[in-house]
Amino acid sequence: MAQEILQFSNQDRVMAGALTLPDRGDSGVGFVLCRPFGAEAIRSHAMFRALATRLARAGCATLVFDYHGTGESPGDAATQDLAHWQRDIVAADAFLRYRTGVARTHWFGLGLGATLAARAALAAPAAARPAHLVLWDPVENGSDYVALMFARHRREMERWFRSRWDVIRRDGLEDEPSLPGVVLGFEVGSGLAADFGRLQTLQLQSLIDAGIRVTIGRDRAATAALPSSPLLRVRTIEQKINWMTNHAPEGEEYEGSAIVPQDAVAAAQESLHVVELAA
Amino acid sequence: MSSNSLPDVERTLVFGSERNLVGTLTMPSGEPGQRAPRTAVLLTNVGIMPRCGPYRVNVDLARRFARIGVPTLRFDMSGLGDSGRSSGAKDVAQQWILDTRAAMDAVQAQLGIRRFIMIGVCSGADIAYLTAPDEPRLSGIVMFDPYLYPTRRSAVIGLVRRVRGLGLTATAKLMAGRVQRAVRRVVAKGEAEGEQPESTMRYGASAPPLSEFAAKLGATVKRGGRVMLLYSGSYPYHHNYEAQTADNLRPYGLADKVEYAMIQAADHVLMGLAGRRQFLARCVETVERWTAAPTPQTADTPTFVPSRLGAVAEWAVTAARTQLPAAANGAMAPARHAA
Repeated sequence: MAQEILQFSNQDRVMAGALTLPDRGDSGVGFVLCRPFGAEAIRSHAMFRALATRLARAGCATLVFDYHGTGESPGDAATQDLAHWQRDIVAADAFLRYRTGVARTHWFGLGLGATLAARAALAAPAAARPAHLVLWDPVENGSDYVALMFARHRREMERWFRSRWDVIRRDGLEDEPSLPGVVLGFEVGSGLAADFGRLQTLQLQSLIDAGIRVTIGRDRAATAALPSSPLLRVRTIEQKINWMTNHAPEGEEYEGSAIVPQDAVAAAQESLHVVELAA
Repeated sequence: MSSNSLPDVERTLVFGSERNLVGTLTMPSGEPGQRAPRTAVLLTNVGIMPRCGPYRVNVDLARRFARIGVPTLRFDMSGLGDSGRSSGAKDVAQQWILDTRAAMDAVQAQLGIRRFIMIGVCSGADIAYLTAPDEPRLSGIVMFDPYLYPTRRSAVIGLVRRVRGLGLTATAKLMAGRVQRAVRRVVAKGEAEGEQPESTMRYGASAPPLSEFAAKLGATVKRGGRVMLLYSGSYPYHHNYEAQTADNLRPYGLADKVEYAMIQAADHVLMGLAGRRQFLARCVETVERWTAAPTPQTADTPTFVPSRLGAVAEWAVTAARTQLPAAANGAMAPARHAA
């Protein structure tokens, strides 16, 4: 197994990534791994590295990358939006095919990365679409997501300063989070803030109608309302992990950073098996 | 927080004798009046977070340094971020000291720079502190939230804060529990605690005795290295007044030989915007000042001996930038690129 640290660009959008290549047993499938947003992307870094390694062992060339304006990629976070990052995913897919010669790709996304992968797959030209999407804990409602980030932001500051939010505010240590602005340490520009406001559904049925196989990982309570289709596989999330903050809400979730959720890895690996059966 | 966009030049590098280390080199922006850089900044992981740092703070720092003409290498230590593990059998701290030296070798080979300032946050501060005494190329270290050493005054302030926050009864119960546990520990060990101020845990990491901490800082200062200690407001019961650092280091003759400050609005991982702004400004001001003025020389300052360059021959840029062929509407046409 070999790993190349690289940069690729689509027009003026330069992105940093890591390409992991299998030693042997080429599965004929390439994987594009789509990171979540903000603090979640930072804290799930180790998980993505482990996932790339596992998939390479399964014979897949795997590209994990930072959207332009995030992580190690050049660019300014404040000018990004969902459409830009969707195009980054399509560009990453094109780069993976171009660089490795794979003709078939699967995309794995976590959190907002899953949402972006789903939207990018629908927006991409037919030849550029992935054969299989693995969507793990996708963000489906942008307003709920923003509300969750605000709540976690306040709680995290309370934990760090060992004080109540109203006291922190009174002492001028931190402002009330708002968008556009900075939440959980990351800047959300006006474009992305507006996108969050408009984000309402995942359009699973449209993906199925487009002939894209989908594996979705969701909380048990959220699996009932999903459409029924042989192209759709549903997994319940057994390990609910907090990727947003240092301190997990007590008793609710595991802390992220050093955790590799086995159910998510298994879902990605199983997508290869589905292809083999279909082939 | 806006980091401003290019013209900063950011390149991914692979370096180290095993070519397992990954970093991002940010070059000066080349604005008019910028001189050829003579000092570079090193940034690294915070805990197990990748080299971009919590909330991408290392990216923000590197771009700010680029605008004042100072290049920066932010790098992942062995086994963290994108860096592979070393095949060596050294313990983690020793390995990461070697990694830090390899980062200096890489920048020196690329840019001819042999003076460095390392800015470390949390665990990154530990590595800066451990590397500095014996590394003459490290002309300065900035440590954010290094180890905490309570004083009598900080204990009183902390107690008052607990009473205000928790109330008298809850604080009394808390303190009674602690005394009980301390007594049990002493009885179990069969010996009294030493005279040194007891070191506290700092986000799960135990600290060395204050005497050891001061000795290493003293060694760095003695060879002419500069030291800045910055503390956040995240330890209101243990480190809670600005002069606490001076009070800690005065018995060792270091109170006026290191710089220190407390950024009350900053949290330990710099998530909050107000505190992060102050941290960034303080780092830029420090680097600007330290790179403008000559390093204070002492009788013991060794001359630079370029003998630590064994890894340079192994260093190479493998992170080529690939511009994909033309795309329609920003989206690639993959069929053209398939083999």
